[in-house]
Amino acid sequence: MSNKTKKRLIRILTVNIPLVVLFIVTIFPLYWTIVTSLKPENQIMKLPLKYWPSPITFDNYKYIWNNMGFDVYFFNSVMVTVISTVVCTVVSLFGGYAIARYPYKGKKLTYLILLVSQMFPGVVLMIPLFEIFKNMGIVNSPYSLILTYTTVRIPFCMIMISGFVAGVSPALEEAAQIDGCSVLGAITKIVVPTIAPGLVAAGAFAFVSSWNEYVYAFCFLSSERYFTLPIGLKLMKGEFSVAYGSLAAGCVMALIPVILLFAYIQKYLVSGLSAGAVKG
Amino acid sequence: MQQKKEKRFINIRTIPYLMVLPSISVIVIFMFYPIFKTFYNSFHHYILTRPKDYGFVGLDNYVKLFSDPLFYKSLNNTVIWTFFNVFFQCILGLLVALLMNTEFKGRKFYRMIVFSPWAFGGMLVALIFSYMFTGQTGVINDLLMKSGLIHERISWFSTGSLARGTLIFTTTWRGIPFFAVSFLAALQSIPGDYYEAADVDGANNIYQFWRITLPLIKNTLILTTLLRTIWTFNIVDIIAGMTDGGPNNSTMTLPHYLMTKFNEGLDIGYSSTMAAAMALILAVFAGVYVAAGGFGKEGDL
Repeated sequence: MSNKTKKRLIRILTVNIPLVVLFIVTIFPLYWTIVTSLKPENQIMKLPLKYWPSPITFDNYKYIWNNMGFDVYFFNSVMVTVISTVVCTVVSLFGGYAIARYPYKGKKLTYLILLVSQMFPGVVLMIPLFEIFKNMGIVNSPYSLILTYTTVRIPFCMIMISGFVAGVSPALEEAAQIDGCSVLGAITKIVVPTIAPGLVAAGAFAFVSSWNEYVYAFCFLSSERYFTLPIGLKLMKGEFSVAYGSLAAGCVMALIPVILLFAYIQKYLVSGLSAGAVKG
Repeated sequence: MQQKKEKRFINIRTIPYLMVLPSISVIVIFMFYPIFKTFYNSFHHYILTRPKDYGFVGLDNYVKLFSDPLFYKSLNNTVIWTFFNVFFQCILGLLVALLMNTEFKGRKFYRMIVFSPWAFGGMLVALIFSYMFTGQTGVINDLLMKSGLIHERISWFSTGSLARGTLIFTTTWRGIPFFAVSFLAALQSIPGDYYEAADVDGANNIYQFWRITLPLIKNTLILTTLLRTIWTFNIVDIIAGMTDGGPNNSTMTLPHYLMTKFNEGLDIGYSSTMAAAMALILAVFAGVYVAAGGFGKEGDL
């Protein structure tokens, strides 16, 4: 064997084959969920298994949307996630801007609070938060989730946004302020447009993790009309252990928004990590 | 000019405080105060549905906790669960990162695919995989039978060790991207000429990995495994969605036990004791781990 063919063989063994294996292992669960969701329910539990749906049907989607309350769950998820994401991003923008631009007393403490709170285990916060929201009278309502999601995503978003702000030269804002622009004006008119992609990325991280959140939602909510998608999906498994077509359709439905966002933010995953840490 | 500045209500010194005030105050109210409250409640008899029985009980809850056999069982399960998850995710994540760091066509698209499990929520992953692992009509059994690896369908959730293995497999699938991304970021910050110099000296790839790559990503390794240990320790959704602690509590971890217990009786006092114990275990672990790993010394990037 010549040296060249040997090198090529090594490359195929160590690069090409692992790449193919990894691709299949990653993509197969998604493929299988989509295929299952498009099969008629009576075909799913039948052997031999079909690896391609025929005939293709959208009945599962129609069924869960109209009969299983997924219209409500989907709306609840969108509402809770969008509101908490927007609030979290705006609050983190100002906080992140302050730690990136101003040399104020107590900056180290701010950093410490952000870093430490990122490590707080969610289950430990769950009980006291339940108690607090109970006293506020909002435990079984979307407000409890909005408050919780906004708060627990702030540390990560704030660190990430401050990283983006620090990466931009302050010259432009200073010039604007000399020309009579207020700090608020400088932030909204100059900083926001410059770091817009970063802001969207930080918001998207918050969105994805809130969208998928289960523990708090399960503990705080008791009325079905407030349930979010993860709770609705879990409910289906408990009630109908065999309705896998509906379950798969529900999973695909819950996946669509996050997959779309993910396609956008995946290029920030690496830079986001150097700024803070990706939770999940 | 000077006078004008002083007259302004918001002067330049208070601006940064006003800006961090909203975020820091919600973090203190909804994150730090609850941690304090957890410890506080753990010394009290406190059942939400029986407010009249509320009172200070000292260490009673702790005594009760340390004589609870299910606490020890779930603690043991949690250690096994966390260790194997972090171990497999870390090794496989490093391999994926090394693979992604090589040059090949379509790398960007490929990277998007490979990192996508990160976007899957825990509950989704749990439901999708429990469907794939179904005994009779599950696709995993079907594929294994077709490839001739097994001759009888395995019922994956029937015994404790099988259920545990299936859960760890599922969580590893979801957790690899996190490690891969962290390691990739660290790998990309290693200057290429280190390897060139090693090539000139005739060092082979394996030697280069142990002598250059590994020491330089050591800090990332320590930090990511630490963060992942804390998060894996706290996972509830995947367990709740796949086995709900079964069979026979063999996949019941501490957080899952805590959540179940709390939702059953709304016993804030006792659940808080468990939460406090968990927080202490994690804090001690984190401290020892960082100190033992020599985080921050040498090999800093």
